[in-house]
Amino acid sequence: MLISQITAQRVLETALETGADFSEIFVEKKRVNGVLMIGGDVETVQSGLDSGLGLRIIFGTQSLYGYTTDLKEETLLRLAKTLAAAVCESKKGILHPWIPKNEIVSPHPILISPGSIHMKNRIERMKEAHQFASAYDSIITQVSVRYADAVQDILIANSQGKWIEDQRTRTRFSISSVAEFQGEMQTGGFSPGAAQGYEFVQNLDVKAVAEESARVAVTMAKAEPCPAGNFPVIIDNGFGGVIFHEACGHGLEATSVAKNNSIFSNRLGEKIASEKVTAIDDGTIVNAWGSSLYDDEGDLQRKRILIDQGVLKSYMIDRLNGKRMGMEATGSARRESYKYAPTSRMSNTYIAAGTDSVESIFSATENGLYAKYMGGGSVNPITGEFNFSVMEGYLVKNGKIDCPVRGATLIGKGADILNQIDYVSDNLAHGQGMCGSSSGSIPANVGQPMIRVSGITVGGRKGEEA
Amino acid sequence: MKQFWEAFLIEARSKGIDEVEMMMQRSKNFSINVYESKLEKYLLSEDGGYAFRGKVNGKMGSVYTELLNLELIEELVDTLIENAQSIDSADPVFLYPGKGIAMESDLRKASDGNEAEKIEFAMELEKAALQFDPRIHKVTNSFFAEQESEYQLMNSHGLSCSEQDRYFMAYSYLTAEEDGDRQTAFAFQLSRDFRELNPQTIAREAAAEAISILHPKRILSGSYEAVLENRVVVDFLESFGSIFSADAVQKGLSRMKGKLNEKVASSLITLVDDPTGAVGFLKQPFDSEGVKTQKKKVIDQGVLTTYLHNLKTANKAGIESTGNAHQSSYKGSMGISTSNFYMEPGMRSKESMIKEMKEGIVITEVQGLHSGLNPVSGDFSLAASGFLIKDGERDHAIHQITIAGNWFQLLQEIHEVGKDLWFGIPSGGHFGAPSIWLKSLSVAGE
Repeated sequence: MLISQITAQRVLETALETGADFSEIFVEKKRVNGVLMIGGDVETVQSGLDSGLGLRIIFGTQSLYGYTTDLKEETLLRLAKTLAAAVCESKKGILHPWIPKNEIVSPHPILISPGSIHMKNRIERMKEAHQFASAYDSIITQVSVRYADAVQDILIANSQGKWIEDQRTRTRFSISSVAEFQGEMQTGGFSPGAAQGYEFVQNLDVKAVAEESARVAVTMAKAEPCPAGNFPVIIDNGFGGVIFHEACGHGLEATSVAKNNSIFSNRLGEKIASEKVTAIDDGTIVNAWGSSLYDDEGDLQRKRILIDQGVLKSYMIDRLNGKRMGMEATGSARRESYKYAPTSRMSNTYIAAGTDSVESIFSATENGLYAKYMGGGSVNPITGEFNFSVMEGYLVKNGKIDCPVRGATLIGKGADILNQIDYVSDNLAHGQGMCGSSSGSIPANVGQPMIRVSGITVGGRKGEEA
Repeated sequence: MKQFWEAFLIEARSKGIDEVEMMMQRSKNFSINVYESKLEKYLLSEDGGYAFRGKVNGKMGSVYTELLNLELIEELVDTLIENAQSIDSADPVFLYPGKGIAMESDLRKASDGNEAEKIEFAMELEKAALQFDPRIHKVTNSFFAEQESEYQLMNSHGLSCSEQDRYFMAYSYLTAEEDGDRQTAFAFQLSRDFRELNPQTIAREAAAEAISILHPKRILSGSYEAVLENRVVVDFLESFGSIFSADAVQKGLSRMKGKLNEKVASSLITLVDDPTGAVGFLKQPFDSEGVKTQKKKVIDQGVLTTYLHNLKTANKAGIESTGNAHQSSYKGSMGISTSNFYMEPGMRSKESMIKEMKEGIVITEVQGLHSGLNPVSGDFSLAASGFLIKDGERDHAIHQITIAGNWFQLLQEIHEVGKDLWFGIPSGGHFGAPSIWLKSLSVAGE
């Protein structure tokens, strides 16, 4: 137990003394390991122990939050008192007794705990990855491999009697290759991860990931600069789903919806996308990178249909914003650590499989861009303007893949893009990323089958139109 | 803490490790957000952590903890040893043998302002923005923060460095709306003296900015003459800051490799790394390894004069460390970073450059720096916004364009450098730049 029930009770009670509606503690103890290998040599190995407590008090729509790494009861009580001093009501808030625990077996089994694995096992796999990537082509000049795992023990207790304990394990393996050709340096990289233990790395097809990263770097080093202009863009499956994540996902988080800051505010039941689009945020996918048994307010994670055949069905809502919106929370509260108050965030977000074939998408595209792999991106949720980069791209001519192009960036507005998705294929796949927002950096899956957007602005170095 | 350090030393020595180091970081934070005249968020925190490094058979092991518990010491030392044994990089590593060096730096100004005043400040920040113009109908965030930090570095050679600092920061993030068009803007102030922050100034800057970019139009794809505003140049400098790291150079991850004493930029360009605090917010007498820092030009009138070193890379290059060792926090590993890093200003005002340019664009914001820019190749392709200039005057706001090019090429082709040196919010570094004028910039629009 991270702190005793008696201590928790005293802290929650002290927090309510000046009349707040709700108090909540989040305690965590997290063990992390990280290894960095450059050029086949282990450069750094870092291990650490994070430990702290976050205390949240809600009063109306005000949120008071404090955290500390000192878990002594007197420190916690002092924190609770100081925070509560910002609320001044005549009567005390109500503290409910603990709700009896309902033992749930986690649907995300962990087979090999990272703590049971010697560092040298991790490094062996990394060396394999290095060798496969560097042997792929003579123009590969540098290969970096990263490994990271984390085991996070959490406790969430609140004034409504909730007492939730859980352990979350995550493992990630990243490889990045650099290729140099006639003075042009380009990179290719992948970072697969899962809510799993060491078995994730054991089962990972390291050869395939390493060689693919090298292949992307080599292809892009030899590619011409991408032409700029407006044309149809075919975005491949998997990490291509970052387009939905940035362009629309953030705008469906209650964090921006509640304050009427999102272009999707007050539009439930309306058609906001092409009928080909069904979009889902599902925190229950077994062992997926963005999954967990509970969200960070201690509610069970769940599957949320956000858009059903173009119609907006649900937002992603946390407790505080739910209060603002007059709606129930959807189990979407997440936070990086005890240092952040939770807020509504995505988990594993994807566009559901459609019925179009890959062949039909290409043959419908006379001239355009094929984005085989996407890089990262960002969005301004208020205006809906997004941007993201294409890691590996090709021009499409007469319905066929033509030549590779580098340096392409896609920009647009989320609301427009949703309506311009005119083909959705059936090959749904997921990719892994870290998503940064007001409650910190959290693991999130993005996913989609191959889609086509009928018109999108492509930025590139070659000035003329395609 | 002293007890913990001594216990660590004893445990390490008993396992044959004589050279060890401990870094301690602690901070206290207070921040508030005001929304619709209410205190929406209120944050208080006290946290900290301890990072240990130790030399085991010539390799550097490291481990950190946020939990200070004597029972953990054995596990910490064992983990440090296991981690060191896993390293196979053959580069010699060092703990600074600065025997008996004690450096104390206290940057704190007399604390002024009580909590009520600070809440009032954030309230005023929101009110001032709303009163500026009816088109500012909502202020998404009026934010005030205060941070007090403490840092200590000590090693078994007798090194002892400490630093204490406190700063205040406030920002306004707001939306202007007119005829269905929404635009957002952001402005901030940062100071070690609470009394130097002014809510009116911040609110006016953000509000004026948001209104000025209302009703943007797109422009045609093509090549344009362009002035990049200072904050955009700061974004670029920050994103490409790592190319001067000797570590990146030695690992073949920087195009600056092999270019020492060569001309790598226009002779209008001088880039300075200045830890003295004469300009910029950072003031750093010692680096993360305890080495005394120094001011130096990295590019002097277009010529690359030095890389940035820590003890390891300097030894490899056969020179002294430049005092640029950097460990971002107790969780991070030892690397290299710039301190206050800026482009020396020129003589031209931004306005006179725009006037003389006659036809072109002014870029006031770029987005997607973490993905649309490749620090290795120098290629960038970024979402951007700004203004169209006709006949030396501002015509209209522009949006939904991308600008693309190559940073290394751009450095060679700079036409003029402005005099409006400006520093951004510190984030992993402290970057400053003036506006610059380019004769040609590739734009994708309609």
